[in-house]
Amino acid sequence: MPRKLKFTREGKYFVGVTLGVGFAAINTANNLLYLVLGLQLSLIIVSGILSELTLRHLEIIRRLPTRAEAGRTFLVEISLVNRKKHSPSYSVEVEDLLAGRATEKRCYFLKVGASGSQTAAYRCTLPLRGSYRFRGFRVCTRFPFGLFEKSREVDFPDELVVLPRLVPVRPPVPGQAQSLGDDSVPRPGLGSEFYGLRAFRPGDDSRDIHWKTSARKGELLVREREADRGREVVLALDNALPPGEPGPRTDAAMEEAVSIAASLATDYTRRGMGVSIAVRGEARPAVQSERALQALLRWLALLPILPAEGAPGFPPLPRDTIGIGHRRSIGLPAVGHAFRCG
Amino acid sequence: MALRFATLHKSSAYLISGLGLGTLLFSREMGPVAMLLVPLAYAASWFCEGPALHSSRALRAWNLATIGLLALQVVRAVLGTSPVVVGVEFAAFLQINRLCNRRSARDYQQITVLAFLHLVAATVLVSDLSYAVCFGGFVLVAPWALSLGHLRREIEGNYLVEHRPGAGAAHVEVGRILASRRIIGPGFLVATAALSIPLFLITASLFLLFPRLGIGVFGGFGRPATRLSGFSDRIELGGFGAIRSDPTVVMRIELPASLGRPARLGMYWRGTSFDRYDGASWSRTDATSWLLPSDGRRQHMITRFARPEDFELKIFLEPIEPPVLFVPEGTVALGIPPAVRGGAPVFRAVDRFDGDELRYRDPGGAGLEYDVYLTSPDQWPRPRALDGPERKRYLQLPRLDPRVRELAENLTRGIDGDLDRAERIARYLRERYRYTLELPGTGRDASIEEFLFRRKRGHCEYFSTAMAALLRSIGIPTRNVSGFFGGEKNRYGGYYSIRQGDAHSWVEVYVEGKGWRTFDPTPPAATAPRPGGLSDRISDAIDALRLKWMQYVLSYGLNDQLALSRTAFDLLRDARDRVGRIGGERVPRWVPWGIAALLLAVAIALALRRRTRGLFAAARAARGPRREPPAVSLYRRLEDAMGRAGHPRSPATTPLEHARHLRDRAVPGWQIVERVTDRYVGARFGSRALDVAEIRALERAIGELRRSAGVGTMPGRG
Repeated sequence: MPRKLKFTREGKYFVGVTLGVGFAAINTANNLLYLVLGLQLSLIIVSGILSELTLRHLEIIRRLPTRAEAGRTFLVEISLVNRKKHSPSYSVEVEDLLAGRATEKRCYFLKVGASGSQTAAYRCTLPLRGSYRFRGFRVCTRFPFGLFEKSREVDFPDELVVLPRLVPVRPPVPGQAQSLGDDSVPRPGLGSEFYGLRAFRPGDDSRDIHWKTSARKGELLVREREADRGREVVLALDNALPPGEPGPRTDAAMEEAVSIAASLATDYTRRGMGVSIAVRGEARPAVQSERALQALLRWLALLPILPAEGAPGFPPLPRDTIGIGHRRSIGLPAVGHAFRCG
Repeated sequence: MALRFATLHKSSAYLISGLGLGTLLFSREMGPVAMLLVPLAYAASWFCEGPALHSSRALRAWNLATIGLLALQVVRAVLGTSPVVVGVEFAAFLQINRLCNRRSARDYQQITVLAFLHLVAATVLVSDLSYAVCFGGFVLVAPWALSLGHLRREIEGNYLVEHRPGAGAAHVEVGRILASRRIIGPGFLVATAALSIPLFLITASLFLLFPRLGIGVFGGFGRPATRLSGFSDRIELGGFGAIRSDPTVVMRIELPASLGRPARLGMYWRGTSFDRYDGASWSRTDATSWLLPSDGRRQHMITRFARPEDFELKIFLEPIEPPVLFVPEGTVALGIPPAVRGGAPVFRAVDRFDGDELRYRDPGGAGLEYDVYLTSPDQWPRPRALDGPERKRYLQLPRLDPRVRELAENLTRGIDGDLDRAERIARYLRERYRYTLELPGTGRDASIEEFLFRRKRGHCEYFSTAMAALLRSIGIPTRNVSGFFGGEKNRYGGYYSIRQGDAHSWVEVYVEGKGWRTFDPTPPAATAPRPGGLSDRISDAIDALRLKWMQYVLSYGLNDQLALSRTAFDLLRDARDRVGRIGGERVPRWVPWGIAALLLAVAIALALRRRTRGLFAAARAARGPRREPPAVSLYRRLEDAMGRAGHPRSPATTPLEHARHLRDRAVPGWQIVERVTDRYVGARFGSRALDVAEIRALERAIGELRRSAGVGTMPGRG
């Protein structure tokens, strides 16, 4: 890859002084000044050669976090591997390139020994959900004398899906308007509602023993609870822009709606409830596990915001769907509870 | 054992600043107090460590001291102290100030910069071997100081905050890293020290190649000239005695092989002569001068231009004041290389003063390298006869004791011819009088009568003055001559060194028909050879180095560059001639040049290819592969759009599998993906060619997919 070379502040002064000495040498014909000029120029030449050697045979690896949320700081690890067998690399700086732009996030490596590696990390905060493409790195050095900065770019494509920001929400209480669970077919579980009694089995929590009935029946009986996951919550997220001119406030409101949807889905799922999300023209099947939740959040991260005109309608929704949308959203179906943003 | 980074960095800063201060000290442009204080302060500053460095009170005190010293130096300069002395002392103080206040990388950087400026400033203050030593030290130490300084700047700039997974940012103490022994090992120090070799080679190459055009408008900077006391317009009796033990080399002489290599050079190097004696000092009556005739290029004629049979002696004269040229008896011509101005050779003029003194113009400060053309005594040209007024000047005497004339008459009674008379008087003085450096007092004690009739001891000036007085008293024209006699052979350089201590005084006697002839009445004890001990050997070695330094560095100029290029050209021509004969057959002249041009073209092409390979690759990538089938191109665009939408195809998944996967997950736009994939697979692996209308339709569909996926990093915009 081609190299780029630019002066550091010290380098500019150095070159300026070199020019001055050269001018003085020519003017005075003082051979000692020619000697000093020769030393200065040789320092520049040696600097160029050494910086080239420093940048050679370097391998850079990026490790992205497994989960990244919009607006939350996460660490990106950069490992620098020196493939040179005999010489270490000093003073190397690696800058991550995000979609062709520098992130202004740099990792500095003071010394990476011969055939050795070092890992550093930088803090990164991406404000918006979505897919971020990392293109590669700009690796540079000012070694050995700090006069010039030599850099080259290294390809290392990677992608990071930034999940919607999770915000504190007060979800509607399940079992009231929003609960769509099938109450007639209760299932035992770890919820809070009483399900029934059964005979004690080794391993049962002694606190679940229903002592009164056990005494009456003459055998140990334990309480069973209804499984909350037996309930499903449907969230309707209006991902169409409201009519009118889109603007930064509208964008922010739409993103807030996605954040609320993601936060509600996370909250309900972690309480053992099934959550399904419907958006314009599409409905996601209910998720109950943590793994499925991550897939749902990833889907939300990449969910496009549709233009107001021509956006499809919602699929048929149950009566107690929780609606989430822009304050001026006109497509939000009649629901039991609605979060209005913007 | 590895040292702490901070210790190594500090050591390198002290080495480079010590070299910078050394150049100032060697310039001898500091007062005695400063010469003593600067080394002491430099050594003491090493121990300035810890809280004392960061005390605001100490900082304030240093600032006040700087302002105070600056004011003091200005006052001293106004009161007459040399501005150079004042400036050099202040420059040294600034470095001591920095050394005592080195808190951060920035302070160390200033130390290095100041050291470098000292080195630059010393180019006009020092020129002897001490500068070479300091410069060599710079070449060795500069890579250490600069690289360690750079690392320290980076450490201070990058290690303020550390990020750890699972924890917040933590402040890292820079001191802990500076105290690390793992950053710099012996390998680093050896490698950076080894850098001095390429640095030296590149510096030397550049030094040789820089064209010495001499187009300067601020010329005149050079080495400070050595003031020679015996060559001014007037000399007091006793002047040479004071410098008799001065070992400073004034000039060096290379003899032609035909003259052999004696251990000691017994030649009189004439500088100046005096015609007027007032009883206490010698001076010149007539100060007129005229330009020495020349060939307009290099040769200056004294009696005639040089001939091939003449002996050619090469002289390296140190910068001296006054700029007198020293020549031995029998010199017929001088060869002086022209100076270079504006890239062109400029003839250097030589003035001949009354009394046959020669002075060169445009001293410059770098000394002078010149040739002396000698001829054997039997070839000496016929001398010019003295006219009346001239003869009268060389017979001038003050009122002397009548015993002087009586002595002269007694000594020369019965001897015919001025040459024999002069020889008789010279022999008398050499045999009856003793050489001593013990100077008499002033006034009557210092008189020539006192020397001749009572003390009978003295140094060369007394002997030459006595002889001149004796000869003049009996009517023989005589002049007192100042110059050098002797010259020790340098064991290592093969040349002869003339030192200040070789300064000598003798007489020239005008003999009808023969001209001015040299007579030395001083006893030979005064010119005893040196013992040749260890110190002399060291002195010889240093002087041989000094000559090389003067020859190849200080005096290096356009003429040398031309000579060098001629040598290189000759070598190339020889090589071409050798190559030009293959198997005894003469190869056409253009063939070697053609091969050289071809090799040069290949080298340039390889270098260009190497440099532009990356650029071409980038351009190719931007354009896309050439002659790519439309179906492939379409699918590439589709992949790009899928990637942007967050659904890239992994390398392990086939296009059809990927399309199926997207369909199963009901990813928006899966229909387009399936359609394009189907066409792509059919065209790529089947025989279904895409027509233009279909290509357009698929391009539109992909465009729609791209728009719905968003173009930037944020996929949510339609």
